[in-house]
Amino acid sequence: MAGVVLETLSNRKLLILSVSLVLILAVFFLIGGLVAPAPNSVIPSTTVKCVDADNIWQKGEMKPFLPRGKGKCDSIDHFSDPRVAREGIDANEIVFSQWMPLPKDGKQLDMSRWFQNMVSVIELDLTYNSQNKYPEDRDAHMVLETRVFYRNKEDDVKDWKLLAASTEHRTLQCSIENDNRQDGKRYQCDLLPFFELGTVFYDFYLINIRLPIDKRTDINIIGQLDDLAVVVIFQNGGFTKVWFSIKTVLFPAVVAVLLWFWQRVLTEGRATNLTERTLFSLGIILSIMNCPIEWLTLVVSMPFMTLLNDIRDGAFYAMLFSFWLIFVGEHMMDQVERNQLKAYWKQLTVVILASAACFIFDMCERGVQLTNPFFSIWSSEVGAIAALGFIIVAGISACLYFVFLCYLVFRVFRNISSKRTSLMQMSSVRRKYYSGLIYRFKFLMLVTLLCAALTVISFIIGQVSEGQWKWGDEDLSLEYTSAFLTGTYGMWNVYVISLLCLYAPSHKKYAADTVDETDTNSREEEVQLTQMASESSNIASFISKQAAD
Amino acid sequence: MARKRGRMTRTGWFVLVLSIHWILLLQCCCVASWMYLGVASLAGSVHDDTCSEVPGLVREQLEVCKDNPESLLCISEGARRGILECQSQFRFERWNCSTEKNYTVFGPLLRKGTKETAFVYAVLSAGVVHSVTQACSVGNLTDCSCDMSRYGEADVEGWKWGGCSDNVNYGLWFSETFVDAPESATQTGRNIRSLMNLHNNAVGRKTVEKLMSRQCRCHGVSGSCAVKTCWRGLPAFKDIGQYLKNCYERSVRLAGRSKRRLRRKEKARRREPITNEELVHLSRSPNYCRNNPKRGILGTTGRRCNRTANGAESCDLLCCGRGYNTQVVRHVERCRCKFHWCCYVECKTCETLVDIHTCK
Repeated sequence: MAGVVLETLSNRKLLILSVSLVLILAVFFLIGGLVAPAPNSVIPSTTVKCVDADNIWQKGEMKPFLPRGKGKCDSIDHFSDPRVAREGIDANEIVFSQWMPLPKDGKQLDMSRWFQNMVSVIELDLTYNSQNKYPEDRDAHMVLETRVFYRNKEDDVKDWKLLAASTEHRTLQCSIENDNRQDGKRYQCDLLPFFELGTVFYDFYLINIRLPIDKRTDINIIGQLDDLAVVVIFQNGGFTKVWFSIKTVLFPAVVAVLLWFWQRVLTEGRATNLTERTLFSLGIILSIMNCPIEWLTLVVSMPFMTLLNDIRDGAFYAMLFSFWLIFVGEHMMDQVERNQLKAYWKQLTVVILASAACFIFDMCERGVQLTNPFFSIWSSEVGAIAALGFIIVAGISACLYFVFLCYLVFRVFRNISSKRTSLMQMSSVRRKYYSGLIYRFKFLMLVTLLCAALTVISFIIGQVSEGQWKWGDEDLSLEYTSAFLTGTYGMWNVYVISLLCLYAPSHKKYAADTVDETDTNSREEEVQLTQMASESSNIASFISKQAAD
Repeated sequence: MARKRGRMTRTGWFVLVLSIHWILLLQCCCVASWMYLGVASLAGSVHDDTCSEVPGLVREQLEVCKDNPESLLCISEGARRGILECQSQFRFERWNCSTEKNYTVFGPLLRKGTKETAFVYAVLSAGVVHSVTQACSVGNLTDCSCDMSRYGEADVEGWKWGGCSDNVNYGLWFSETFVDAPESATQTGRNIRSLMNLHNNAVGRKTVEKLMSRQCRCHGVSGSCAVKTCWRGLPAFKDIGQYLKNCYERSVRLAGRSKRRLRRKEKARRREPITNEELVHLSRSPNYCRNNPKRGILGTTGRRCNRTANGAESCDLLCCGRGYNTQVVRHVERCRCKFHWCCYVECKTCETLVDIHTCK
C-alpha cells in the first residue's frame, strides 16, 4: 500500500506546514480575543409593579401592561406605598412588567436580529419580615402566569402582539444566615429559569408576570417580596458577526480540502479503507457544522437554530470520538483483520449511547422550548430526575469511552515497542510499512493531545478569567471567553483540515525508493500489503516469510 | 497705560472679594442643602420644577437638575433612603439622626465635622448611587449611559456590537457629579473640611460597589457551563447602612493641620494611608445628652429606653444617668396578620399593656 502524504513529506515541508497551521490557530484565538466583544451581554432589570385594578388579566384578556412610555400602566413604586393599604390592592392584582431592552442615553434601545438567542432568568428580592417569613421548612412552590409580547419599531405604539403565554410551576429555594434575621435584610435565593428564545427576531419584548394567590393552596407563599428582577442574556451582535465570518470562511475551505482528499482516495483505484472513510465522514460532519445557514436568521425567524446548533456540535464531537477510536484500532498492528465498522461495535455503542442521551436531553429541554419558551425540564420533579438520568448516562458513557480509548492506545504502544525489536529483522518494505504506521500513529497522538490540552487549558483560563470579575475598572483588552470560543472552534477545524491533508494517500510509492531490493519476496509482499489495507498478512504467512528470510 | 492697569487690578480685587463673600455665603447657607430633597420627599412634595425651589443647590447641581428633571426624583429618593437608614441604624443611640423640617435638614449639626456628620455624608451619597442605579434598571431614568467606550463605539447603536455596561457605573458617576459638587465648587477655598466630606462621600459610594452581589448563569451547548454570563446586583440598602455603621464606629480622626491631604491624628499610625473603607472626621462628637438648639442637639430627654438591655438603648446609657420615667400604656396594634407576598390581607387588632420608659 502506498503511504500517506505525511510519510512522504520532507521534514522541511512538514515544518512549514506545521508553522503555518499554528499561525492560523493563533489568528483564530486573536480574532476572538481582540476583534470580538464578549460573547454575551446581560440586561439586569427590575420590573415595574403594575396594578390591574379591574382584574383584566384574571378575566383572561390578553392585554399588555406597559411599564413606561405611551399607555403606561397604573403602577406603584413599592409595596409599602400607602396606596396599597388604602385601596386594598391584592397580590392577585399586581402584574410585574418590563419592556426589553431598557432606555439608555435618553433613547429607547431596540433588539437586533444579530443577537441570535435570548435567555432569561428571574431574581427575587425576598426581604426578611418577622411577621411574614419565607417558609424555610419546606420548598416554596411558585406559580407564574407569564406572557411575552413583541413589537417592532415601525409598528404602532400600542400594537403589541402575543409571543407566548403560559402558566409555569417553579420551586424556589432561599436561605438566610442566622445573624441576618432582622427586618429589612434579604434572603439569598436561587435564580429561577424563565424563558429561552432561539431567535431574537423582533425589536421590543414586553414581559408580564403575575404571581397568583389562592387561599386554598400553598402556592406563592414566599414571605415578603420586595422586587422581582428579570435578567435577560443575549449573544452580542459583534460576536455573532465575527462568528458568522469565521464560519463563512471555514466552510468553503473545509469543503475544498475534503473534495481534494476524496479525489485523491478515488484515484488510487482500489477499495477505500475504513480509516479513509471515517476521515471523510468526519470532514462531512464538520462541513455540516460549518455551513453558515445562520445568515438566514437575519431574514427569517428560525427559533430552532439553537437546537440545531446543539445537534450539529454534538454530531461533530460524536464523530470525532468515533474517529479516534477507529484510527487507534486500525493502527493496532496485532494481525487481526478489522477494516470494518462491525469490529468496533462495542466501543461505538458507548459513543452512540452518550450522544443519544445528550440528544434526548436537548430535545426535552430545547425541543419543547420551541412550543413553550418558558419550559424548563428542571422545574418539575420528574423532569429533573429524567434530565439528571440522561446526564449521568452520558457521563458514564463518556468515562467508559475514555477508558476504552486509553486501553487501545496502551495496546498500540505495547505493540509498537514489541515491533521495534523485530523491526530490524524485517524486510525493508515491511519495515517501511511498519515504521510508517508507527510514525502516522505517533503524529496523530501528538497533535490530538496538543489540541485536547489546548481546549482544556483555554477553557480553564476562560472560567478563571470569568471568575475574577473586574469590579468597575474595565480596561481589559482581551476577551478570554470569546478567544476560547473562536479559538477552539478554529482549532478543531484546523485539526480536521490537517488530518485530511496529511492522511490522504500519497502518490509516491515505496517501490521507487527500494530499487535495489528487487527480490521476489519483497514484490510478493507488496502485493499482499496492498490487498490487505489495514494489516498486511496473517500470522501464517508472516512466520513463513520470516523463515524464508 | 499704568493707570489703566491699576484700575483693572482694582476691579479684579473687587470681583475677587465679592466672589469670596459669595462663596462664604453659599457655604454657610448650603450645608446639607441638597439633602433637603430627602425630607421634602418625605412630605411628598417633589415635582418637576423643584430645581428652582430648593435653595442652595450649587451651579453644577442646578445644571444636572435642569438637564434631567426626572433625576431629581431619584436624588430625593436616594436622600430619603439614606436618611431613613440613618434613623434606623441610630434608633438606639443618643443621637438618633433626627431631622428638622427646614432646609438645613440636620440643623446646625453638620457644621461640625464629627463622626455623625461623616456617617450622614456617606449614607446619603450611597443612597443616591443606590436609587439612581435602581432607577436605571427599572427604566425610569432614561439618561443612564450605555458606555460603549470599551469598544470605542460612541453611538447608541454600538450597544448592538457589545452590549451596555453595568448600571451601577452610571449610579456611581451620577452620585460623584451631583453629591460632590458643593465641595468641588469651592475649589478656591478648598479646605480640610471639604476634603473630609469628599472622602466620606467616596466611602459611601465604594460601599455600594463593594457589597454588590454576583450572579451567574450557564448557557452553553445544552445549557452546559462552557459559556457563563455573570452580572452584579444591588445589595439591600440595610446591608449598606449596617456596613457604614461599622465604619462609623471605627472612624478615623484627622489631623486638622494638614490642609491638602488627609492624615491620621493618631501619631503611631500617621504613616498609614487612609483607605476608602474608613470614614474620617475632624472633631470629637459631643455626648448628645443635653438639649442644645444652637448646636443642633436635641438631647435624650423624652426618648424611650430599654430597662433590661445592656447596649446603647439601655436606660442607663441613653438617659446619661439622669434616670427615667415609667408609664403604662395601652398599646393597640395590628397582629396575627395574614400576608401574601406583597400585602397583608387581614389582621386582628390586639391590645396590650406596655411599660414605657422615657428618659428624664
